[in-house]
Amino acid sequence: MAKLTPMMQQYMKIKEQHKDSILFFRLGDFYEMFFDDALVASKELEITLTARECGLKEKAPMCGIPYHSSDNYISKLVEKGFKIAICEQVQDPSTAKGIVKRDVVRIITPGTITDMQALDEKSNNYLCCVYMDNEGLGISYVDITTGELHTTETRGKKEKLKRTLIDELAKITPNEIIVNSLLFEETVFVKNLKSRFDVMINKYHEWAFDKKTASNRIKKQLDVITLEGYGISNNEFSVSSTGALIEYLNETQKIALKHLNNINSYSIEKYMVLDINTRRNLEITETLRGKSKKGSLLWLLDKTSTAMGARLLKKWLEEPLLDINKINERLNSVEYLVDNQYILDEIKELFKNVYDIERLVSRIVYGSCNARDLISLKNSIGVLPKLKKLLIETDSEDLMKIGKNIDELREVYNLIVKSIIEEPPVTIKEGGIIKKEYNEELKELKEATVKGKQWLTDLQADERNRTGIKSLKVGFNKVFGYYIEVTKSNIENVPENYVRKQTLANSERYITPELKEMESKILGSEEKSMDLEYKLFVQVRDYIRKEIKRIQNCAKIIAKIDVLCSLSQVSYKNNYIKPDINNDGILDIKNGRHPVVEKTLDEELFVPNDTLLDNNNNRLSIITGPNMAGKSTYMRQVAIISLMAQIGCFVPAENATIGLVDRIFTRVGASDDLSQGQSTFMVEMSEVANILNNSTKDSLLILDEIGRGTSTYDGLSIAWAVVEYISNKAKLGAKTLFATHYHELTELEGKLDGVKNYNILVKEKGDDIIFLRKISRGGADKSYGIEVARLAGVPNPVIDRSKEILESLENRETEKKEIAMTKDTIIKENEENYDKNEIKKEESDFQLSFIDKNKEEIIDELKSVDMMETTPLDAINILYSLTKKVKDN
Amino acid sequence: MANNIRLLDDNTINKIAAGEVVERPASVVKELVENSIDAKSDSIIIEIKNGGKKYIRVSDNGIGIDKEDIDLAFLRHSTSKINKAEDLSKVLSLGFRGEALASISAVSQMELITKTVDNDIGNQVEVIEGKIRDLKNVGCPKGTTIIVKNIFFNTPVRKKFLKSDNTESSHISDIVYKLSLSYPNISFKYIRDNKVIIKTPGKDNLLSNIYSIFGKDFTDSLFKTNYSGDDIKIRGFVSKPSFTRGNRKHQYFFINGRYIEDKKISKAIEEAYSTLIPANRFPIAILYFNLPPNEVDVNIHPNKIEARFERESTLRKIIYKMVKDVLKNNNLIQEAKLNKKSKDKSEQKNIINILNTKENYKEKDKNNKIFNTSNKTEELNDKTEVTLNKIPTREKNKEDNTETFNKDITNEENKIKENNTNYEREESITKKLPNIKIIGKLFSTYLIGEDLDNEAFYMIDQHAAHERIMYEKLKKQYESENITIQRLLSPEVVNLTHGEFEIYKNNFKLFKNMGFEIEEFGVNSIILRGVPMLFGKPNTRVLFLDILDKLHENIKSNYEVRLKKIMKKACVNVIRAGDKMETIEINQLLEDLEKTEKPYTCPHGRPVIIKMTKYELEKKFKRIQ
Repeated sequence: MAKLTPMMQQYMKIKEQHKDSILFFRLGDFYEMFFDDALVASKELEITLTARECGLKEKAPMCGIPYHSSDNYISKLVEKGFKIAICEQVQDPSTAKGIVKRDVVRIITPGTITDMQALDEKSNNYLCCVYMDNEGLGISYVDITTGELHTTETRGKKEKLKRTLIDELAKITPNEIIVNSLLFEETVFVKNLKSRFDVMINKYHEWAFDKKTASNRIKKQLDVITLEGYGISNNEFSVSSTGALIEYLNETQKIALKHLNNINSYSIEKYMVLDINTRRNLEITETLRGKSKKGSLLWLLDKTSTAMGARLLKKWLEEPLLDINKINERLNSVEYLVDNQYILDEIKELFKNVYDIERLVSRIVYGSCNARDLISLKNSIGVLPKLKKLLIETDSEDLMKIGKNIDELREVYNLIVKSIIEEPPVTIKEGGIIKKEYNEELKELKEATVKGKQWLTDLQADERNRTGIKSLKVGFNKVFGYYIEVTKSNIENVPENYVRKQTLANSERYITPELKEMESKILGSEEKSMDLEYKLFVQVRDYIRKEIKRIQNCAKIIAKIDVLCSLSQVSYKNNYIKPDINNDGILDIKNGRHPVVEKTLDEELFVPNDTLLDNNNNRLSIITGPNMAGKSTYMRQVAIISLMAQIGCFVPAENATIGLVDRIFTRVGASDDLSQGQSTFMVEMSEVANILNNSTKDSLLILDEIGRGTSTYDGLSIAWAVVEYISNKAKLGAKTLFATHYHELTELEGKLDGVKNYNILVKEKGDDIIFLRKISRGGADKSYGIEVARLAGVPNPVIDRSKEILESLENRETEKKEIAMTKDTIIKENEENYDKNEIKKEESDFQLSFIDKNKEEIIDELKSVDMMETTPLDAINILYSLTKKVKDN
Repeated sequence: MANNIRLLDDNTINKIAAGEVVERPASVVKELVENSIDAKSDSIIIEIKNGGKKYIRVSDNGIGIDKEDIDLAFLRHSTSKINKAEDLSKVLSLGFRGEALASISAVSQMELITKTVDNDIGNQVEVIEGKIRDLKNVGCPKGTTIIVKNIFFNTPVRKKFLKSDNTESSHISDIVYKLSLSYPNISFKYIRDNKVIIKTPGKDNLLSNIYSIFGKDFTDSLFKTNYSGDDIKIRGFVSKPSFTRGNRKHQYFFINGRYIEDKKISKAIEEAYSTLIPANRFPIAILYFNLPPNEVDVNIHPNKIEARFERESTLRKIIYKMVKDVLKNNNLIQEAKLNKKSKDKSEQKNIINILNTKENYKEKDKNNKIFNTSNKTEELNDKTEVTLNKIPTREKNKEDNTETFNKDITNEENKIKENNTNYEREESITKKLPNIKIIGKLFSTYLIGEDLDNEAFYMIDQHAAHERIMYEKLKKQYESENITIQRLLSPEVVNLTHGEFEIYKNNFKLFKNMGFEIEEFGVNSIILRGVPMLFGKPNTRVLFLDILDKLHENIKSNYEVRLKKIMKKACVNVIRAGDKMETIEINQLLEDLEKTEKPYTCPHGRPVIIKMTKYELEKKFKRIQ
C-alpha cells in the first residue's frame, strides 16, 4: 500500500479543516492547489493543470500561481463565489528541521476581501450576519476595509421579519451573508434571497449565535466589560448577530481587527423606511433598467472628491433622516457652502490630496501597508489643519462645530514626515524607505556605504596610476558584486594580486582581496541598513496603529465635509433651493422638477409642477391623464424631492415646504419580481398589502395604476376601496399620490375627505395629442390610450378598429355612470358593503348585450334585402319597419 | 436706365437692417440676453455650440410673451419699452429699438418657446427668415427660450466672414462676462459645447459674482472701492498694483447697469495708478456707476457701448480721487473679503501677471499677448516710453485664435521671420540674419548692432543666442548619433532616492543616447563616467540631478518631448555654470547663430533678436508725426 509523502500528509491534514475552501498551499514562491481544488481552480482561472508525485500510485493533480501575483487570482475566485484558505509557511525554512510548519493564516470570502484593486472604492463591501428566530431578527454588517460595523434588530411575526430583512438587505447590499441554522432551514426563503441579491449565503456555527457567547465575543473585541455604552445590551438579537459576525471574522482573518472598535446600533425606524421596491422605483442608487449608477439619483448627487465621501453619500441616500434638527444642520451647512463658492472651491482643492483614509487604516491593521501608504496617509491628514482653519473661520455655526472637532493629528503627521522618505518604493524589506536623519544608527550605516563607494572610485584612480592602464575601471553587477575591469589589450599590465573572475569579449574582470573586503563592508552595511529600516518602519506603523481610532474619526469628518460639498456643488449648479422642513405634514412644492429627468432631457424643456399635500384637505391626489403624459415622472419627482430634503440636500424647485415623512412607499409599474414565479397581479396585490399594512399617517405613498392587472371591474373596485381606506383618517390617512385610468374615481372628490383631483394636461390636435406635462386641478375626461398607441406605432387597422370599439363602449358609459351614482349612496350608508353593486353590475351587463342583439337583428335584416328585386314601395316599407324597430328600443 | 433704381422688397430690407444689429453670433447672444433681462428674469441660461454658429439658446424665467404678442415681437420697431421719442431720455431697460428679434430672425432659423406665469400652457413658434410658422401649444416652464440655429444661413457672404469657432465663442464669452458682471442679481449659466463654463450665484453679491466668473486669483487681487455722493454713486473693485494686465480688456464699467466702454474713465483710473505700475500695464477695474438717467445719453450707436454724460470732468475727478485713496490706504483698507485666506500664495502668483479666467487658460493667455502688442501700437502716440518689441505684422495673428499655445511660440518665430523676409529676398535666400555691425553692448548682456542697408537696428540677447547655438549643436550631434563624450577623470558616484533611481532606470537609454556614460553602482546609486563633451566642464552631478527632476515633472510625455526638454535644460545649465559671456567672441557668436536653424528665438521661445527700424525710432522722437 502506497503511502502519502510527508508533505502531502501535512496538506491533507490542513485541507481536512477547510473542506469548504480552496486551499492555497504555499510551496516556496508558489501557492499550489491539489486534487479537486486543482481541478476547479485550473478551470476557473484558466491555468495549466499538472500533477505531482504524492506517494500514491497516481500523481496528484496540481496547479499553482506565483505568490506575488496571487491577489488577482484570489479576487477572481472569490468573485466567482469560492472561499479561499491561504496556507503559509509559518517557520523559517532555513532553520526548519524536516518539513516546514504550515498553517492557514487567513480565509478570504466575498465579504472579507481586502484587495483594493478588486473592490469598488465608491461603495462599501459588506459582510452581513443575520440571526432570526420566531420572535425577532438581528442584522449586523461590517466592512472590514473601513472598520465600520452596524447592527439593528426588530421583533415581530415571521412574515414581517422576512419583509424587514429583505428591505434592510436591499439597503445594505452585502456581498456575503452568514445566518443561523433556523433561518437557513427556510430553504425557499434563502433561495429567494440568494437570487434576489445575487449573494453567497452560508450557515454559521449555532454556538456562535448563543447570546452569552456572542456577548462575550463582542466585549472581547471592544475590550470592554459591559456593552451598555453601545446601546445593545438589551438587544438580544443584535447581540447574537454581532457576536457571530465577530466570531466569523476572527475565524477567517486570524488577526486582531483593531479597527473594528465601535458598534453603530440603530433602529430601523430611526431613518426613513424605504422598502426594496421604493429603492428600485425611485432609482436611488441604480437605475431600474440596466442597474447602472449612471442615471440614478446617486449619480446626479455624487460630486465627491474622496472615496470615503462617495461611500458616505451613498449611505446618506440610503438612510434619509427623520430628525428635523439633524436635517437642518446639514441644510444650513449646504446653504453656507452654496453661498460661499470660494470656500467650497478651497475645500475641494484640499481634498485633492486626500486618499482613502479608511482603507489605509485597514491596511495598517492588517499589516499589509507599505511606506507609500504611510505617505498617502501623511498627505491626507496633512490637510486637516487647513481644513480646520477654513471651517472655523466660516460664519456657519454647523460648519464651525465640525471644524472644532477636527483632531489635527499633528504627531502622526510629523512622525511620518520625519521618518519616511517622500517617494518610497513599494517593497518594505529592501530599504530606501526611512530617512537617514530619523535614526542615528541608520545614518552611520548609510554614510559607511557612501564612504565605501567613494573608496571604490578612489581605487579606480589609484589603480590606474599604479598599473598605468588608462581604461581600467571599477564596476558593479548583481551577480559578482564589485570588480575591476581591464580591456584585453591591457591584460599584460595586470598586477599579480588581481584575481580573474570573469572573461568578456573585450575585457577581463578581476577582484582583489581588499576590493572584496570593502564590498562586504558596503554590502554588509547595506543589508544591515535594510533590516534596520524595516524594523523602524514597523515601529512607525505600530505607533500609528495605536492611533487608528483618532484617524478614523478624522476620516469620518472628511467624508462628511466631502458629502456636504458635493451636495452644495450640485445644488448650486442646478439651481436647487433650500427646503423649509416642518413637522406639520405639509408638503408644498412650487415648480418642482425631477432632478434626474431634468438633467437627461436634452432639447426639451422640463415642465415644473406644483404639489400640495397636507394632513387635512389635501391628503390624497387622484391623478388622471393619458399614459406618457408624465404621471409617473411627476409622482417620482415628489418622492425624490422629499427624500432629497431629508438627506439634507437642496431640492429642485422654486419653493418647497417639506413635511417630514417616515416612509415612502411606491407601487409603480411592473417589478422584476416576475422572475420569482408570481403573476403580475399577485405581485401587485402583495405590494399593495405591504403598503397598507406598514404605512402610517406620516408616510408618503406613490401608487400608480392600482388594480390594472385584473378585469376592469375588479380593478376599479380594488382601486376604489384602496382610495377609501387610505383617505380615511381613522384607518390610515397617509399622504398619497394616486394615478389611475379609472376616471370613475374622480367622482370621489367632495365625497371623501381629503381627496382632490388632478390631471395632466394634454391638447388634442386632430388625431394627435400634445403632451403639456402640466398638472392641473380637476379630473381628465379621457385617457387617450388609442392616440398613445398610435404614437407607439401600433398598425393603423388596429387603431381604427379600437376606435370603433371605444365608441360602442362609450355608449355604455352613461349607463355605468348611473350605477356609480347609486354606488356612492350605498357607500355613504355602509362603507364596506359592495354586494349590491355586484347585482347592479350584472343587470347592466345584460342590458348592454340586449342592445347589441337588437343591432344584429337589424343588420341581418338589411343583409337579406336584394336591391335588384326591390320595388320603391317595398323599399319604403323596409325602411319603415327598421325605423320602428330602432325607435321601439 | 430708368430701372436702375428700385425699391427693395421687405425681405432684403430686413436682411440689410439685420446687419446693423447682428454682426456675429455674439450680437445675437447680447440682444437675446438683454431681452431676457428686460423680461425681469432672475435666471438666464446661455448655451452655444460651435461658437454660436450652429446653435445659440437663451432660456430665461422671465415674464414670457403672451400668445397674442408673439406676432408683434417679430415686427421691426416693435418694442415693449418705449412709446414715443421723449421716453428715450428715461430708458432704463437695455433694448429699446425694437429691432432685436426681427433682425435675428431675418438671418437665422429661430425657435421661440414662451409661457407667461398666468397660463398653464406655453406656445412654440418657428421663425424662418422672419416669417412665423407653425404656432402650437407646448408644455414648458415659465419664461422664454429662444433657439437660434444656423445664423446667416441665407446670407452666405456674411457667413463667410464668420471667424473660427474659438474666435466666435470668445466674443460670446466677452459678452457673457459683461452681462453677468452688470447683473449680479441674476444667475447666469453659460454652457459652451455641453460644458458649463460659468454659473453665477445671482444673489446680488458683487464679489462672489466676480469670483464665479473669473476665479480665485483674479478675485484675490482686488481692492474694494466706493464713492457715494448726492446723485453720483460708485461701487466696485480695482486691482492691486501687483496685479495688472497688458491691456484694458479687464476694465469693466457699468453705468446704470449698462456696460459701456469709456477711455476717459480708464484714463482717470490709470492716472491714479501712475508710478505704481509699470508703463504699458493696466489695472483691472470693475466699477458700477449710478448716475441720474437724464444726464446720460446712451443712444449713440446700435451696439450701445459708448455713452455720453454731462458733468464728465466732475466724474473723472471723483474716480481719480476714489482710486487714489484706495491705493493710498492700501494697508489700512480692508481688502476684498475673499482675500482673507492664503494671501501669500496668491500674491506670489500675481507677479506672473497672467490672468486666468475660468475659461481656457491657453486661449486667454494668447489673447492677452496679442492685445498686449496691438495696444502698444496705439499707445505710441501718447506715451513717451519706448516700446521695443513692437512688431507690425501682429495684426494678422489677431484673427488666429485657433492655434494652441505651443504653436504660438513657433508663430512668434514666424513673425520675426516675416519681419525679415523683405531683407532675405534682397540679399540671399540662405541668409537668415541681416548684416549686422555690432556697435556696442548694453548692460553687458545685449549686443547692439546696426544695419545701415535697411535703416534698422538690432538688439541681440547674448545668453539667448548662446543657448540657441548650444541647443542646436547638441541636437545635431544627437541626431547624427555622433555625440562626443567627455570622460570624467574621477567618475562621480551619485546616490539617488529610490524614486530617482526608478526614473533613471526608465530613461537609461535616453541618457545614453545623449552622451552620458552611466552605470549602476550598488543599490540606488549610479556612477557617472562621462558626460557630453559639449557641456564643457559643468557641475556634472547637479546637471544630472536637474535633468532627473525635469524628467520627473514630465513623466508621462513621450520620448521625443522628454529629449527636447532635457536638451533645453542642459543648455541653460551649461551657460549658467560654464562659460563667461565675455570670453565669447562676438563675431563667432553671430556666425554660429547664422548657422542655426532658428536663430530668432532661444530654445524656450524667448526672442534672441529684436529689430527696430529707423522710421519707428524717428516716430518716437517725434521727428515724424
